[in-house]
Amino acid sequence: MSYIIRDNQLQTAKPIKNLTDEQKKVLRIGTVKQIDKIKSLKAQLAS
Amino acid sequence: MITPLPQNSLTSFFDSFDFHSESEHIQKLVSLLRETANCYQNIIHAGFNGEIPYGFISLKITNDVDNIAGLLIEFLYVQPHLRHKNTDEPRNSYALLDYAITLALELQKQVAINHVYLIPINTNKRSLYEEYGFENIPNSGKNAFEDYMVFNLLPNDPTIL
Repeated sequence: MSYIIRDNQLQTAKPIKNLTDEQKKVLRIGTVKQIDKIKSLKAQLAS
Repeated sequence: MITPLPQNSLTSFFDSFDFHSESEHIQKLVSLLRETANCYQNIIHAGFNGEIPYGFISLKITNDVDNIAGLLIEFLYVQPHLRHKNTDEPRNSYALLDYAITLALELQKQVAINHVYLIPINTNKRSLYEEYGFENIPNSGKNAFEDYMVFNLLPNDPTIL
């Protein structure tokens, strides 16, 4: 469960259902920044 | 050093912080996370500089994003005077994020989670996560300020999603 401050109150965020193609794309394809970060962290783990 | 806290260390850890300068909402959230961690609903991972705690991250597994399981960063906290926003020092928040991503990469080998999710507690924090590499899942929140953000651990484009 995620928490957010909405309307000056601490509230819980609702789960997402039925992702659109645009939303799925973000989950399918890593960005260059993400890929670089993963490489860097894996290199640190290996050293 | 960042380390998961056993249940019997939660009280002493949280008592070592002074949350009085934080907003009422943050204090309430910390109190809630402390309570739920005590009931094994989330794990608090504590960050230390030497023996001094600088912050923590609350983690759990979620399927809130269309039943696509992932590691959820419920909350990330760094003491206000240790938030190195405009200095050359490494950001403590990034150390906690590096830790969470590394943990997720290790979990990925054994339980097939491929994403790390979070929702920034307020709008101001969104840029921090964007700068780190998290991507906005468009229109996934009640409004743009509540969109889920994701860090994708997948190496390429799987067609199974």
